Amino acid sequence: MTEEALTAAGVSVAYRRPDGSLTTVVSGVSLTLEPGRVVGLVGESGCGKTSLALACMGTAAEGGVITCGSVTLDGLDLLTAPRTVLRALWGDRLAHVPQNPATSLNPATRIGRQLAQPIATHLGLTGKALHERATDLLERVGITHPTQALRRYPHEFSGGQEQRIALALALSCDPRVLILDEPTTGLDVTTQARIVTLLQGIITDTSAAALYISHDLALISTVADRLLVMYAGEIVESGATRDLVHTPRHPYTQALLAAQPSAHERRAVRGLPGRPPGHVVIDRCSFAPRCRHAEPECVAEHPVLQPLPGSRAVRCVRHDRLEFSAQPVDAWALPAEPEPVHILELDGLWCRYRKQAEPALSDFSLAIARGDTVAVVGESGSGKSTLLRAIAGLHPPGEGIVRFQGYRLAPAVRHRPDQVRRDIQLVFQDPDSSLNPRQRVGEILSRPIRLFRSDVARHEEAHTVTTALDQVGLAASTARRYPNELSGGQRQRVAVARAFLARPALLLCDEVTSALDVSVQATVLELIADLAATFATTVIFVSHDLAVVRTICRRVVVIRAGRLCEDGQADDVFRAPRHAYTRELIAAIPPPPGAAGSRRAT
Amino acid sequence: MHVTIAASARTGVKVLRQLAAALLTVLAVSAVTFLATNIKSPEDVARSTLGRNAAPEQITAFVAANDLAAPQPERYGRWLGDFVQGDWGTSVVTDQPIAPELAPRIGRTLLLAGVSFLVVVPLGIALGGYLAWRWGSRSDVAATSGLTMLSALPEFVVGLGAILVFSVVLGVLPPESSTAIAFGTPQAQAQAYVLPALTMVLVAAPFLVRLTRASARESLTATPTRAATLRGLGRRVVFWDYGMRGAAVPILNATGLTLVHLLGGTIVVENLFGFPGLGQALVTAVGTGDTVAVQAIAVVTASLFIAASLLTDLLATVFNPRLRDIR
Amino acid sequence: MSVAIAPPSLASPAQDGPLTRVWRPILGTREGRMGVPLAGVMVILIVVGRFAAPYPPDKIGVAIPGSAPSWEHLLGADGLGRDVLSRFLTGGTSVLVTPLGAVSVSFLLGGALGLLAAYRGGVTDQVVSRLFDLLLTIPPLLTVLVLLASLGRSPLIIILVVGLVFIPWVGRVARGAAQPVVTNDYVHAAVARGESTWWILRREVLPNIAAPLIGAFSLYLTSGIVFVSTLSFLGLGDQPPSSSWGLMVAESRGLILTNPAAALAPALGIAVVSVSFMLIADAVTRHVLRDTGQGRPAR
Repeated sequence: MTEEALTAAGVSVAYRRPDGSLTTVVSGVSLTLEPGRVVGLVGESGCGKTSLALACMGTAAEGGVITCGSVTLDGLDLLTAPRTVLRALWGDRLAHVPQNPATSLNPATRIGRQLAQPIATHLGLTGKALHERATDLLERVGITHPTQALRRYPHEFSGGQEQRIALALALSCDPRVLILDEPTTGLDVTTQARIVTLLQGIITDTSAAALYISHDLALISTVADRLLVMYAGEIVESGATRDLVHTPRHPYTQALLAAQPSAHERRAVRGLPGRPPGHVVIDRCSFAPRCRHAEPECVAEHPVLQPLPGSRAVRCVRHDRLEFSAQPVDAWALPAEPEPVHILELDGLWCRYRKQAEPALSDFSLAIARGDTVAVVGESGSGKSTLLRAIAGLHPPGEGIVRFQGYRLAPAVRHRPDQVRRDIQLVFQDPDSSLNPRQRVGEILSRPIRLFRSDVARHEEAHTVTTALDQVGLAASTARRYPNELSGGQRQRVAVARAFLARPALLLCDEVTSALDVSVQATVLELIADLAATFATTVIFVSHDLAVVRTICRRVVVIRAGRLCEDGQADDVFRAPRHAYTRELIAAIPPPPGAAGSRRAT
Repeated sequence: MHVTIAASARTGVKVLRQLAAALLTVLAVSAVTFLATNIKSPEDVARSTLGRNAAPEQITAFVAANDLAAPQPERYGRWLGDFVQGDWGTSVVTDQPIAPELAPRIGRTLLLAGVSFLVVVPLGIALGGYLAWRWGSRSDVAATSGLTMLSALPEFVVGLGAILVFSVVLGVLPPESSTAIAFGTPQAQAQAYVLPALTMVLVAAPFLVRLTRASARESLTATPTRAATLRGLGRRVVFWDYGMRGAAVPILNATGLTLVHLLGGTIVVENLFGFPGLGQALVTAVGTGDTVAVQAIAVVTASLFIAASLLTDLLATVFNPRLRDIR
Repeated sequence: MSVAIAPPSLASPAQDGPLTRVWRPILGTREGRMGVPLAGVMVILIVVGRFAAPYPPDKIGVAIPGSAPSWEHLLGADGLGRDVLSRFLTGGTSVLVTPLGAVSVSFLLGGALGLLAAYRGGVTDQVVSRLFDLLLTIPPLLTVLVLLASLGRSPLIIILVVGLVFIPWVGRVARGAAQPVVTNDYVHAAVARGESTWWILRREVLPNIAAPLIGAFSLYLTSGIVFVSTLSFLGLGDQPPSSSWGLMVAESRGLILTNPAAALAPALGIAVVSVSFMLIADAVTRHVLRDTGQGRPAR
């Protein structure tokens, strides 16, 4: 039996509210990390995974309290160890890699100095030995010319290089246990793939024990041997990755799998309505309100984590009576074929931002058929958002023509006629900033009615608002609420309702699901597809997420550094990409959970 | 320092640009003050000095003597030329040349501001850093409240309080400086600086302490600092290398602002203590309507302020590696 | 490392106007509970105190010049034999009214400029920002002194000049508050709908910067009080025989060893007014702004 590197037993974490009371965010979590193995922790926002990560380090965030449990490393309980002991372990035998590791670099000191500190502190190296180790570390993470790199500051490197340097820094003393808290979330798909490969290499080489936390089920199932699924502060299911993704036993796991879009086939996604509780629920099943299979017994008492054969466990009182497969069988239904008429024509667009040397869009030309659902795919900085803004008239292009329904459009939106402003609608990425926090939902939705819907009389406005809310799956009472009372998913639904109230001919979606959890994302995607079909709206969908794109779009356009790289039907582009960059993007996508080759061999 | 030639050149250009901007600002200020002090018609200026009931011939003579009738740009040009050569005009009130009267005052004001600066900066930063380290503790809350209330008080009230404690109650320091500085021994002169300097320190300290505390706190809770802690680095290293270093630029800015603040504070403090410096001269000149003197003193004072700001900007550029690279 | 906890129910019923939102919470803070009563007392004193003055404030020689406090003259007499208490009770008006006027002026003009700069961006922003930066290099007192030297000393001029001098400070605050608001997508959505600039500034931007502006107003009011009383002290505010407190301090400074009360009473009056307003400003900016929907709940 392999020895255990880190064991957490019954860990609970709570936070102190301003009035002094405690809110429990993690309850009774146990896990074991073994050398050379990766344990994956999957959970959506608010499930407590970051608090758990810190607890595994033996500490808590500001205002947090570890209320019970133990975390044992080499026979020592981290939760009762004095600070000086913890500091000796941190960085040396136990390492923490946070989200977007590059932000943990000190912008004011040179790389060499930052690398030297942990090495000197923990390993006691000085002078030449120290220098050698530092350069070795940099080489290991793929930084060329390491000696010069040591003398430079973080901002002198590219984004991807910064990420790698940050990893080198965190792992500088070859720790035996790694706590990776969403290390690749928010990174470009290609950078993400490189970092993941790097991490896997390091783990194999040093036989470290790793806890990999992520919300991305597809990614994590390529990395982890075992999976733990976390919901509302508790582990609801655990087991070998292969088992979990093929035959989940908990409804939440199954819902997560069903909500995952796949970049490899156009598969239907099913969303999860509602939102998770922000804290631990102790008197009933925390998932019951959102569970399709809930029965009265589920809310009668709190389910315990029951061990199952094959080193699995599940927290569900009905698990032996439920039977579901990992993936829905049906394919996503695309809307009808587009008409042979062009609704939008872009001709030689050039867009520049004032302070940048490179143009955001270069000689961009594209024609969109009426009724089509087109994806514009690119990584950050590729110009995809600029493209939408140019079409909407928010960022007038320096050169080039935009033709809408046959007519040439004025570059700036304020010079365009009302009709055009009505027919082209935008939905934005960030649910926090797309709705005015000082206006109620009803007011927000009334505005497009008043401006664009001449068919609605004043006294019918309220009714129209209610209908619109209903169409996006929100209760009528939502009209009286303020945006900050709604969840991110609900806010995006309001934004979608706002856009469709104008009955647009063209809908521009700018990364509308990128800021949402996967389960919520699916509902918003379904919504957009339904409404677009109902109102015969052409959709341009900008995203960096190839899986989402594959699912809902018929046609794909790939953009890089402001230029068009590839343009074709989604099926063709994904199966046989022609441009090298497209190939690179597709290669970087993690295989779907459950597919062959998706797990590291034991 | 690993600085390439290109980077040095870029820094050099940036420095030159800042110098040029500062000079332009001084010029602009001199032009604006000239306009402001010469807004009144020549006759009004004469009347305000000679009195309302001055006879017309006296007014005409006055206008001719002080050459008040020429067009503004020409007079400005002449004034500018004189100024850079050291002739700062003749007081309309005392009829004496201004420059020799002002020169020693500049020295005294600078000395006063300088001494206060050298005291308040180390104390202020140290206190601010300490409070950031002890954020939220009772001593922190008490100190911050105390400083906030202190910052609400006008300078002359603070000075009055100092006089009350040290001159009235304790009787150890003189309540005004003019006699000591004019006639006293070097030791008495030095003593005359103490209360004004103390007042200035008390007035300028809250801003610096609070800014240091806030910047240090922000830096101490930032991601790089937390990551450093989780890497097992010692508390002292984390505090200085990650916490304070990150706050270095804002603290430096605050220090520069403190210098400007101190220079400004001399105006009121000198008046309260009868301290024979630039500030006192300015207020007297404004009070007596001595427009020529106001012009000269205002430009000199403004130049000092602008020089202080320039110094801060230059130091910030040198210390911030990222700023050095920005074109 | 952010902590994902759901905030205690944010469905606050207090989504009413900005003024109501700030008033109640102020009294909930320690600073507010100290500042509001204190300020209230001072305001009452300043407004109605004059009716309780035992002697006419300007009457010379009602007491021995420089005499210490006694039963007939509770605060003693000043250098001209005037009753200090009476002068104190009548001299507080300019401590409040002038700053109020000046800060209002600076908020109207500076706020508009800052808002415009933030919204328009580009050249407008550059020009306005450079202007502000230029004006900010020079300490306000110097500017005011120079302007007052030539423009005179009537209360209206002081209000305008002080207001003018505060404009770059207020403008910077307004610009700083408006900039993050203007980049929000809901503003872009309004532009895309074809809303007019005026509509956008009024309905989308202003409600979102009201809270920080109110906080800034209270803060600058305190600065204004300090500033105006300093001007008065320097002899550039109300002229003799006014019993304006700053002027009283200046006139009685020389008596500090014989009748300290003559200088201390008005100094203390100014101190209490400015400290109490500062406490209120502190309560508003620190505690209230944190709670009023500017933050976003964890997802």
